[in-house]
Amino acid sequence: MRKKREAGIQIANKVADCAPLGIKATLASAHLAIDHGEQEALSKLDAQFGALFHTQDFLEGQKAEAEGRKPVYQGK
Amino acid sequence: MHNLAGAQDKPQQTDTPATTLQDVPFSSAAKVTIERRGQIVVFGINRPYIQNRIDPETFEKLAEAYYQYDHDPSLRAAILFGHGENFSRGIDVEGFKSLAGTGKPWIASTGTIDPLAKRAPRLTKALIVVTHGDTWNMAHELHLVADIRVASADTRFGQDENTHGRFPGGGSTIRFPREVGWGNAMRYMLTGDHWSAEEAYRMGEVQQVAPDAKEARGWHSNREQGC
Repeated sequence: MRKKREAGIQIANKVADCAPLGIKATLASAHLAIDHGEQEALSKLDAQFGALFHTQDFLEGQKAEAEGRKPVYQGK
Repeated sequence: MHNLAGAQDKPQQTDTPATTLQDVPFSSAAKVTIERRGQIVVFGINRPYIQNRIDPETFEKLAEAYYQYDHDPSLRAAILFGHGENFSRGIDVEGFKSLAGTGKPWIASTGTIDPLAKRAPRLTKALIVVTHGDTWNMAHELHLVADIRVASADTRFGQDENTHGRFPGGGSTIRFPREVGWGNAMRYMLTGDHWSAEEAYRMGEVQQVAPDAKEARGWHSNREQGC
């Protein structure tokens, strides 16, 4: 019972450690493919990727990697 | 009766001349090798000094190779693999830095087929991808474009952009859930955890696991005459 709860928490913590805007974009793109078809979702990828490129969290991701530490994302 | 099914709706085939895909022999300068083997052609990503990371030139070469394969009537199947220790660790971030920010297209608008299949034209013939070693991010997305996938048992898959403040922008958000089911795909894309060839097989994205890279490719032996 306890093990199961820990497994759930562990996965949730990993998701929580990711940049929130990227998680949202991932889910939005996957939902778009189901709701409106693959071609529609594929055609939006470049714009979605481009939008993340200009976020503070994207810079934080690069900075943390260069400094060899765990990134701290703000969802901005 | 007078028309075969689908014969009328092949827009990309009507006015494009047939091509003959030329070999690109193995050398340190060839970022993508091309080896014809009868009716099959084998494409090799060849930048082992940088874990086969894909830079703009490698991507363009691959796009041209896919196009020429598709328009070469003497070829019936293509295989994509990686030279060296890994299939590929994905995008060459430094190499793409100047291009990725601009919004410019990554490949020429004619004479190419997008290796990530984000836009038309698409391959009209079979693509088989054989992975080994690190197969991360854009490399995993090139792999998802394949019709059939074979993995060496040592393959280490990853789709971990979300841990870097990016997101999988090369088609995984669409094709990964389609191939393995929503929960399996999200289990890895939303956490950034990596997974094994065995796990890929369990999820259904890999159709066959071979003991090692040579077995996975299958052309160390003389069995090309089959079928």
